[in-house]
Amino acid sequence: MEADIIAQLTELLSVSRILLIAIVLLLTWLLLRIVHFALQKSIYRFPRYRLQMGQVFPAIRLITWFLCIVYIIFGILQPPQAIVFAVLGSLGLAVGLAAQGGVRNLLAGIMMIFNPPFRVGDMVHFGGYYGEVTRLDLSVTMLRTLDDNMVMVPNSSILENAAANANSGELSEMVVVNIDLPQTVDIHEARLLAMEAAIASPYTYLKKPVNVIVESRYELGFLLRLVIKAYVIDVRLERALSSDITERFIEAMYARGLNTAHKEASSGPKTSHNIN
Amino acid sequence: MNDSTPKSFFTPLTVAGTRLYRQVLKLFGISTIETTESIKILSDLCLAQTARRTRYYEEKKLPGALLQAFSVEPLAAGDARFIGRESELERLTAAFEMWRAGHNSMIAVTGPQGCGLSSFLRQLEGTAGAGDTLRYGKLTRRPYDINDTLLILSEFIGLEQAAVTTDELLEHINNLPPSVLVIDNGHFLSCRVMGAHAAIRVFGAVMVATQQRHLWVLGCEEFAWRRLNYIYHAERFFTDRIQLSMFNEQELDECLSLRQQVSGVVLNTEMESKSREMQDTLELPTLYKLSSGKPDFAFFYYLGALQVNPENKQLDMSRSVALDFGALKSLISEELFTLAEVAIHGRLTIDDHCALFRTSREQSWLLLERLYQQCLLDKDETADELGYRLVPVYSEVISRYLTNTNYLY
Repeated sequence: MEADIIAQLTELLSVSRILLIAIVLLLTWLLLRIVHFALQKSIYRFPRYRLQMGQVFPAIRLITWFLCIVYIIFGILQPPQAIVFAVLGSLGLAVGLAAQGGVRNLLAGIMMIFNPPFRVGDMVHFGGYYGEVTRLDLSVTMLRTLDDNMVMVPNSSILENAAANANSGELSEMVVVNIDLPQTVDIHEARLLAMEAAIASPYTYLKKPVNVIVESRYELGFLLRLVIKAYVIDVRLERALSSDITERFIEAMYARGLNTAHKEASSGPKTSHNIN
Repeated sequence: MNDSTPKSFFTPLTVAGTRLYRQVLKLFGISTIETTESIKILSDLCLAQTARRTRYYEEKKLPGALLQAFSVEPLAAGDARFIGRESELERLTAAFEMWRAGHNSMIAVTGPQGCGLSSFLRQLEGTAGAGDTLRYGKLTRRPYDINDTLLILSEFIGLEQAAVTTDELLEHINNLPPSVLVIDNGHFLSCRVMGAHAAIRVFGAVMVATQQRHLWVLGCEEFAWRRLNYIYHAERFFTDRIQLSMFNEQELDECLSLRQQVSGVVLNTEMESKSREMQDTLELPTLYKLSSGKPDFAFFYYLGALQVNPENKQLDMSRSVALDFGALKSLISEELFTLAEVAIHGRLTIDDHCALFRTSREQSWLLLERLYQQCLLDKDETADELGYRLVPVYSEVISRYLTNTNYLY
């Protein structure tokens, strides 16, 4: 019985068939490279739709490879049922035992392609890292952080844990800039200036509302916190927007002498920012 | 091409196939245009800048009457070259009636740059009734603070000395006889410079507070109007907004024919029938497609296609060649942001650019000059300070590109 199976396997894996399989694999790889290249060119030409286009490729890649494998098995190899079952059984056992984590990631990757919690180009907060999704593979997702580090996250852990998506497939996202001021400052004028600073920035997406919220807080003394919420025109410019708003606001405060209302609080406005 | 020319069954398929082939090549960054031709086209792009265009027409020795007829300056009330816009003028007349009947009214007239907004506003003199007083004003500078607003509006209503407070200005405006107050170039109100926020609010407040007595009509370019809407919700304060669009093919045909007729210049007799034929069957759709119905862009192509025959001094017509806007693709982010803000503000000075982008004067100057040398910006020396604006002829193409690349919305 075993000898029969080995004989059949030897017959199946003839040199010509292996060559044919190699050619099919090469052609599939080439096809995917062309599709990828064309998509990149399209993204370059229509940057406004880069998130939608970026989402398409993982699905195309999965389907293409699946079709390729199906063709190799049933179109080229055409193995007898006994061999199919034997190979599937062995593979199942091997995969089940040796690659539990990998298979989990793979299944998670497939689930993520068809029911994506985020897409390529989204800004995602996960496991202490915040960055742009640059690649959505079958088993891992690659993030590029704001410090330009590449972070590799296994897909299964993304599905098992909470991931925050800042823009959900849109190019604009909310940027929150916090500015701490001495409590003695003229609140009304400071709020108007903060609002104007946000509107004046060329990176602000004015189609969505700009808000300024005033909060009171205590940090070695009473402070006023201005929370400026504005949408950035493109997720890649969120740092530029945050910095620009802060710069404009502080400069306007200095120009009006608002930061020197009381000498004991002369350290001026303190800023921090976070992204929602 | 004549309608009677027999067409092969495969012709549309061949044309579609060629287009698809070119698009695919274009996608991969391969140009199908010959090198020599592309150089010619690129130089043509610069010819659209106002100063160079004038020189170009002089060198071509096109008749002055023809250039006068195809002038892109706003048309005065009753000018025979003003065509179309019937429904828009009817809406305006209805608004006038409402105002005369005692209803508060404020009208905004908006449209893309170059659609004929100023010409349309100029026609109001003909639309207003005999007893109506009409005051037409064109903004030529931007209000950066409340004092600027008071000064601009004081000049507009003819005060010798500018009002010092808003109340004083309101009093003066309310003392005027009931009038139709038309303000053109409303894009000057769209200003992102810090401090201008209050100035624009005061401008709007004065209009709203005096609408019971006067009918305000504000003409504003489309993108600037959108900006005013996003920031100040301007549309809520206006009773009606009349939106002008570019010409359709029929209107463009009428516009070109009328101007040609007004010029009194006759094309080469042989060419005339040929050009009519071209205009009917080939040239007009091409012109319309190339210009997207933008009159000054169509004039540019039309005049560019005319040649003075050196032998008999008559005018011949050649085919129009599309301009190549490949220069746009080589721009970097800060240049695209600059173009977007120029498109919205209508005109930016170097100081405006410094304030908007927080750059040094030298940086701003360098950037604006580079875009000028790329023939994407034109210099506007009509005001005291030198300003840069999109080359008016193809501003629509630049705006479309900026919208597509998410810099303009």
